[in-house]
Amino acid sequence: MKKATYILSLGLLLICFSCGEDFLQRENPNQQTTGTFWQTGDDALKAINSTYQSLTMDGLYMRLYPWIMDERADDIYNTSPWWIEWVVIYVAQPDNPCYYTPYYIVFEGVWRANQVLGNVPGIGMDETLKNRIIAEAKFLRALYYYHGTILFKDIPLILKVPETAEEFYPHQATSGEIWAQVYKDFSEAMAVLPTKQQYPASDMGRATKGAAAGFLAKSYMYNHEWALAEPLLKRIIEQQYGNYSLVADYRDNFTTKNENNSESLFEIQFSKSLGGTTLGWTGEPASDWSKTSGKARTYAPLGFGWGDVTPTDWIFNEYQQDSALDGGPDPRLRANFFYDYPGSMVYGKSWASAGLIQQSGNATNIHLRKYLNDDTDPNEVEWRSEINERILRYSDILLLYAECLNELGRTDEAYPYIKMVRDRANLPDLATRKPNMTQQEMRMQISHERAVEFCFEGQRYVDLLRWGWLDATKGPNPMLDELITHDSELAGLYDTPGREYMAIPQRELDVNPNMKQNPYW
Amino acid sequence: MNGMALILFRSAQTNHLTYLDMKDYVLTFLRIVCVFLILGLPTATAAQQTTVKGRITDAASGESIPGVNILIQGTTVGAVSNLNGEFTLETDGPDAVLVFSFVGYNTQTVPLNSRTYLEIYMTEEIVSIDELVVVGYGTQRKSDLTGAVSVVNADDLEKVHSNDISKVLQGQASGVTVHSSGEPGANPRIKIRGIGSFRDTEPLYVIDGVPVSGMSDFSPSDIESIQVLKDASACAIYGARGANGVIIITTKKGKEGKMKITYNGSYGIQNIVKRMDMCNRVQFQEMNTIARSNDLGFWNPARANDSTSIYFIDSLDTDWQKEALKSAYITEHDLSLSGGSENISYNVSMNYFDQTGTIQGPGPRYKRYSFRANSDYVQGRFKFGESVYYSHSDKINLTTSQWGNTMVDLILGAPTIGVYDSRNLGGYGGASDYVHDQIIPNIIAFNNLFESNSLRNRILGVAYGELEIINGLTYRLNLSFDRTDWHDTYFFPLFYVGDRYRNDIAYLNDTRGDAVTLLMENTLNFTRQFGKHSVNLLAGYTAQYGRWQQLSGHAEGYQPPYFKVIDAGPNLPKSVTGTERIHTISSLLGRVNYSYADRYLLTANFRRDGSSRFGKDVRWGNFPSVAVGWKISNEDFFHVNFISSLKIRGGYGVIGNEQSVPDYQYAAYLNQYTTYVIGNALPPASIQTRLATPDIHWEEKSTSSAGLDAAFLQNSLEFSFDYYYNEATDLLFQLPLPLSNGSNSDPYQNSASMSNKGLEFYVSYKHRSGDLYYEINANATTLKNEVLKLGRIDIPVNTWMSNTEVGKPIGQLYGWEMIGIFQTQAELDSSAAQTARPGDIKFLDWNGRDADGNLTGEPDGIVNDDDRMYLGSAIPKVTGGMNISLGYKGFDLSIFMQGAWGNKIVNRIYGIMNEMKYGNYSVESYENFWRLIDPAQPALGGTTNEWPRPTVNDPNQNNRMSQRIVQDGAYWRIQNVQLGYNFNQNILNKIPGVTELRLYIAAQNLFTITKYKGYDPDIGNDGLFYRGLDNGSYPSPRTFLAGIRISL
Repeated sequence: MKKATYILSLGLLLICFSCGEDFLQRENPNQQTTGTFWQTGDDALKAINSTYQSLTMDGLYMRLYPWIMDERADDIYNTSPWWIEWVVIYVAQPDNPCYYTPYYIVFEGVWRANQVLGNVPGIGMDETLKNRIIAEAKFLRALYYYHGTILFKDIPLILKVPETAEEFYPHQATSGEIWAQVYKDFSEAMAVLPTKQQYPASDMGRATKGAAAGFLAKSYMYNHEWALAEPLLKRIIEQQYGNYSLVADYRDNFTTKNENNSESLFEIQFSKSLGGTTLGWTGEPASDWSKTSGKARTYAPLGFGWGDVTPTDWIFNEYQQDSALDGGPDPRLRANFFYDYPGSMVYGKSWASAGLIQQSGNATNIHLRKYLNDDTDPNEVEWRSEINERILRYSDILLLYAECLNELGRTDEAYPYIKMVRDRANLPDLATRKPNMTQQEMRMQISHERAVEFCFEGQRYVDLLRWGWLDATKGPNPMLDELITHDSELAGLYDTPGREYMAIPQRELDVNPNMKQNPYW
Repeated sequence: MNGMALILFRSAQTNHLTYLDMKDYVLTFLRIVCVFLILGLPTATAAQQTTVKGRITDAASGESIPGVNILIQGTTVGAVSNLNGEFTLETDGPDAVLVFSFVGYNTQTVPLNSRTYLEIYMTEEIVSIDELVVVGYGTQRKSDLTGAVSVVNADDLEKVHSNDISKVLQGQASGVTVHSSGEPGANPRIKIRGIGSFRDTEPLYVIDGVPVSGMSDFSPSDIESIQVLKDASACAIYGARGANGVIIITTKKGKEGKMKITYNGSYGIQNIVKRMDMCNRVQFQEMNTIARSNDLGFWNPARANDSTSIYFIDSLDTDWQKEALKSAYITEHDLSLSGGSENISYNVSMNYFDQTGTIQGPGPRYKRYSFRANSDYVQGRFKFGESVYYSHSDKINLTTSQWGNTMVDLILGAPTIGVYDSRNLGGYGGASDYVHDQIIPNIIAFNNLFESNSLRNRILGVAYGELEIINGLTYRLNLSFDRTDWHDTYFFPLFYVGDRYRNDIAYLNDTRGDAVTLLMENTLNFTRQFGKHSVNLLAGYTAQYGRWQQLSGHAEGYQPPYFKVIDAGPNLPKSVTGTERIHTISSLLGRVNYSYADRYLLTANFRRDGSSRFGKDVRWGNFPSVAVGWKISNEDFFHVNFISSLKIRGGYGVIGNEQSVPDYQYAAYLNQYTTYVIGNALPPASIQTRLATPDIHWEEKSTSSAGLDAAFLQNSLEFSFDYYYNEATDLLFQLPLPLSNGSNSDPYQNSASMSNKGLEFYVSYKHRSGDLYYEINANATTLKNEVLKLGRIDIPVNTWMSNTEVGKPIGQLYGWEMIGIFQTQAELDSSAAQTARPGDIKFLDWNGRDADGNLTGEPDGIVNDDDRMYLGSAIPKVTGGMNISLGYKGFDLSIFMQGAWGNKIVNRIYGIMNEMKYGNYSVESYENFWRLIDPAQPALGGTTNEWPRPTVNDPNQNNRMSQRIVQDGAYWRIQNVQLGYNFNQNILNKIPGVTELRLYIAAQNLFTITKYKGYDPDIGNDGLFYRGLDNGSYPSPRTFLAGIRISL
């Protein structure tokens, strides 16, 4: 008996020792390891599809990028109590989440694009598809850097997946170096990408030749490279990179109704019926993340959403410069604003019963309407909006071309392209109303045309940046003085000149000794 | 029968036969004859009554002891000694067994053996010197310990009423620091000898030999004893999981004898006593209007505060603290049955605990039902036993607004908003943007509207078998099964509580999961005495398997009447998420305990641990430790009368830790949820989203420890002293990497080192003088933490409130220094640049950068991030506690005090009530805020240099992290006062069946001495880099309670 127990217990011990390594080797039951990836064309497709996702995160088009751009521009007052309140009056500190989040998301996108560019060329797969995927990745990397440098100016330029310690702790590049890479990536993408019409419907939303050409032109314009921009814009208008035209109803650009329409060169795709219900602003993507934008709730007037933004009186009044040919107001006014006019409706309610509150700072009771779901929903109390964000429209190409011609001294040639945009708004032809404008008059006219066409689309601030109207670093700036009369929040730029570009997030400076804070911070 | 006769004869002798007269002799003789006759008639024994008399004296002093309880074992019959120490008792037979017990003395069990007069000498209790201490896979005499071990007195533990064992430990043992929150069911944070790791600082709990986590599931009333193992040599045997110290808990076991039934019950009332002095309506309206007007055209007065507006509010004056803070109760009922025979012992207990919260609404509330059954069997060389513990807890969570914190929002509540408003969906009042222009939530609304419940079921089953193979060699197999099931629900109904707080889509989150841990331990134990050599050897193999899985569902669109199940949420899509993790550890362990002549002691440990959390090549770690001790008082040359014992000891060892890193972190994975809408579909997607570090490996903690234990004056005075120095290296944490890498979270790296050092003292003194018995014990611990290494190139880790850098303690508070208020525009213009206006706070400019971007330490004319400085440490320099026990006859009084010294707290509550921005304002800020002496002459400046102007926009960020909100966190708290009365045997004799009856009243958290201005300096927050942040920590309530303990 004693012996038997002895043997039994020793046996038990031995059994246990023998199970050592297998017992400790545990594979993750939730996720695939990278070691088994990057093998097939399917893997390459999966990876490029993932590279688009950062566009939909907060920091970019889930909400924060357009919100930061709109809030700082002269067409919107801030009425939000969130962190953005300090950004708008240019007193925010570098630890503000409005700086942190876009910075992080831009580089999230860059890392994903670099993974594709580093791994896909080595995959044995269909060459045409492979080249398209590589071109999509270049387009997206350029698009992330386009946003990154417009926001922060000088940021690290990372073109491969970091491996060494030096690569993990990069230095900043100058904005010039970044723009050069943006030109290169957009150009190379443009050369390979199919046009919008060449893609099957199942690929709707991918980067196209036209989108790459459009953003390349926009990048040239940002840097006053008029001569480079001109032929490119011309070829887009000549339909060489795909077929584009203005949609008849201006408002079709801002609702779920006519998404991916003929006017759209590139738009961020959202959907409420696909994906889950959790907002997933940023962070590690989860299976229940919704594929929606949080912009509508933020922008909707108080009572229907958060009312975090309010249009300035100035932008509202800009629409009074012209009447439509039918004698009524510019139709874009009603597409972009809620205000009190006969028959005015707010989310299906009459103006009176909607009870919209006049915000402090406004002379009239006006509210923003663009990119809201008031045609379909009773309010915006749901965070999830599925309206695609049209980030490059054909009307932008037309007005950019007009501007480009004007800057090249071909002011007269600009008229027809402005006319196309004004025609859709049923406005009189400038060639008859304001013929023979000087170059400077035309500049101001184009600035007006752009303001009324693109208000609340995050475009106005990009324009103000590239025209230098926000620059207070060289002393008094008459254009800035003018902007301050539109929106007193911009006066902050005289207290803190140079802060039209955002701070490198404090956390990045804390962590990476190779980074320096931007000048003027 | 010979033995019996001899005793009878001796008994006659002790009756001083020679001095007795003949009559007495005859009577005694007859009595003896009767006894013989009765013993000859077995059927008659039970009926025979014997009167026993006796006297009880102190063995040392010879003084008589009154008030001693005398009980006939196995019955409820007893007596109590009188003033002369004498007693008389009717027993039911000459072979009865008497139990003599008295506080502070060893309990004696005396078989009567037919004696009728007993002379009892009681000895004072000095068990603490040589009691057996559980040290992991075995026990040791306390005097033989070489490691740092604190033994916590179970009697002291019983007096603190809490659901959680770690709360009960607060201040009771040196080296143990506990931060707690007053929220029912909250988990206190406990640390042993400082912060042992960046991520996981929880010690390992071992209940009856089984390592467990989730201590709140276990009822403290089951505890028989607690030992705290603090250094490597003591903890090493639990190596892989013992790096943060080990708390060994032994539960109550049955004892040989008749079944004993004990009921313990208590009921208490709890209240949060402290109040912040906040503005009333008139003050609030005035100050809010001034704050808005200070923002130069940004804001008009809020209509609610503007007496010229038709929306002006003068009908309300809500005092939010008064409305929201309420009385709560805490109650506990415990019933246990225990007993045993020679071969079997058992203990079965049932416990009910219920604590409600002090905030209006259903939560927070914590209820727990638990059941424990232990039994042990012995048969020759074979022993086995099992214990089963089951608990069910039902916690209603405190709920707050989507963004807020209850305590913060409580003080900020505006007096112009009503608590209730029947016009609003849900019935609660809230701020309207048009009228109030406030974003303060109604905390009463949220704590009532949202439903957040956590149900947990825990079952822990343990079985062991032990076989003594040959004399001294024992094999033991321990198996345990530990399963927790949880079910958390969160229901968010439709409501409108003001413009900023409305919900039009009701939703339900329903999360269920379970965690199972299986443990097998095989140990061989060999104990042998060879002359003066005493040897104990231990060898073992253990394997642990854990699986965790969780499933969550989310559904939306519920309409009243609400059916709170996933099915009833009509909106599509519904979300569901689920994950699973498996974690395994296996270990080989060995220990040698050797002592020579009871003077020289040696303990050596070695263990080899493998963990599934690391890659194949770095999976195993080897961890040795050694400790020695010298019992000086046992040496022949040692002749100091007043020193009863003296021992010095010291040790060094290394322990590994893998608890800081989650599973599967050593490999890079693809995330397949990185989908994007293409072609109105979600085509498959996958990409790497997080960086991984394949070479992560064991954290190592080396500890050096030296200590001294001494006892004086027949052990009435005991003293312990310990010095410790711990160095934790290769600490795993998510070292912040540049965001430019694009990773969604920072990968774990073995990237930091840290040391903790300090002194620990323990002293106790007990004394008896006549009826009075008293004992005082006190402990104190000092702690100095220093970061030794941070990442590859020692880059500091910076947060909005702290900075952690090499050479400084972790989470050192960090911010700007306020040097006054800008009085005039001229002062502003001549000072370092800030985006300020007169009335804003002037911060110190002391640092800047040169052209290369290096810090100069010289002012640079601009106040920015570089001008932040250290504002103190959040880690207390000293923590400690003190117990005072007094006994007088049946009464006992105990007072327990506990505190911390030398730490700072970032008081966000204070900061927010003085932000002078949104929400209500403190009366202090209302009375003191900066204003111009003469608005017509701004050059004259303002009224104060301490309080800024109110401003809603706050362009200067007056409320940034500065010493304005850093406060002294030192406190000394009378944590527990208990007064009890034990009924003596004379009274108990009149209550049939009762053997013990105790009544007591107690007060908890009675009084706190502190300069801290928040609700409670004992804050639950103990984050890694956000240390010492009182961000609305739920304060501990003051409790008055009464209880009863009765045994049958």
